[in-house]
Amino acid sequence: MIVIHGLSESLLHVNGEECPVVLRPGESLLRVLREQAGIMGPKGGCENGDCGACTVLLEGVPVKSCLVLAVEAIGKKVITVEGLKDSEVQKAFHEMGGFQCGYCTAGFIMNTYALLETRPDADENEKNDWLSSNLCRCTGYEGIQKAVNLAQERIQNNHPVRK
Amino acid sequence: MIITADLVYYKPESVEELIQCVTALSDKGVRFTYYSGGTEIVSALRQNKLQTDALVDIKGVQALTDITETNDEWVIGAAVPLNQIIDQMPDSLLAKVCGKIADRTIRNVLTIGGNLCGRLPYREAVLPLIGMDVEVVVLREGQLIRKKLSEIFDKRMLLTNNALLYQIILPKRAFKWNFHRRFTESIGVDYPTVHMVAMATENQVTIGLSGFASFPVYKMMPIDEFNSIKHSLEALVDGLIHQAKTDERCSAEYRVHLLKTALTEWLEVVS
Repeated sequence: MIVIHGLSESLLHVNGEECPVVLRPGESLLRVLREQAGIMGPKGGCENGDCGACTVLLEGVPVKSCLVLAVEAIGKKVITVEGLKDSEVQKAFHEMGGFQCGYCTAGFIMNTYALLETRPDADENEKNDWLSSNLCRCTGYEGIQKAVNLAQERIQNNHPVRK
Repeated sequence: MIITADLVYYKPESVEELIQCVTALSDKGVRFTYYSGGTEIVSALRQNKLQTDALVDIKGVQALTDITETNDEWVIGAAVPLNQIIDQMPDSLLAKVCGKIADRTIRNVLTIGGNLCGRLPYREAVLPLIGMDVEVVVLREGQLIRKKLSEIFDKRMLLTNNALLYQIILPKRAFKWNFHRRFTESIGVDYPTVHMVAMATENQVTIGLSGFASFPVYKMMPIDEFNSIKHSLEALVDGLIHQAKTDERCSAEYRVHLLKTALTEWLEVVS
């Protein structure tokens, strides 16, 4: 049985690196990533699970890191937007202007990446379903939609879907 | 806002450890909360709406995180996330209802047990379960007890003495028909103003509603009775409309209108 109380030293596996942190059981993964690991990609927006700006991948699955306790990430692989440097999704968001103020961008990129990893042939309904987890308060959805479609096109061309 | 509570986190890795942990905490008088997806608990802790000394994370117990299948039934662990149900049981009515709850990223962690047992009044996952007359397994005082969900669900889960919803046993029962319709105030990702699930088995028709009243409500009737009143919306909503609530989302009158709209759509499908 795992028991954690008070402050405890631990390692988080983030973007392929071991990050030493000191955890309290009640701390969110978002806070620990930003305030201890110095990883500023995930953003604190609503901190209530509504906006998706804090989305990271936990064992490849998108989660809202404001609603995940950091202790739950011990021994698991965490990927943040910093870990997606030079990915097709990042390039597509850059090229298509898939952002305005940029605060929500990391969350959208993480979800788009996870979507296209698991469902490269996703149709519009699936894309809407996945990305409705994220809010853009600038309402820059058109650029985001174009970026997602471009990334999908390139990923499909690199790894053609079997018919 | 950070979580200021000074908590102890326990993660048992077998049912035996879980029982041992809970028994020890109970004996010491420690206030504890079962923890799984965390979507509601973390928010509640952050807002100081939950007073607890310890979290017992149940995701280390395999029987709670697996979906297993036999010829006759599905056994769903209470700590199974909604997306796992959607992926593993895509044709089930339960999966279709779960697919409307929260958003996709949240559903990666939001569990069926959390949806049924949480404080939020919607508990939408229960809508198809009562009509299917499912059984559940409850862990109470070290014993696994199987009973009908309808016996321990009345507005909310009635779990006492630190009992834990352990598994949901879903029969592979054919419906004559089923239907679900969910309305929200504006965008799709929101709590429901009315979520109606209607289904008919060989003998019974069930209409379940979430968001309509302050808790999930049901109307059950023998199929012969349904056939005799199905042309009258007023007869179908009788017994339900007085429970409609008014809140900041919409009025009771509007909820009744939405209910009648859903019923009309359903009856068109049925006919």
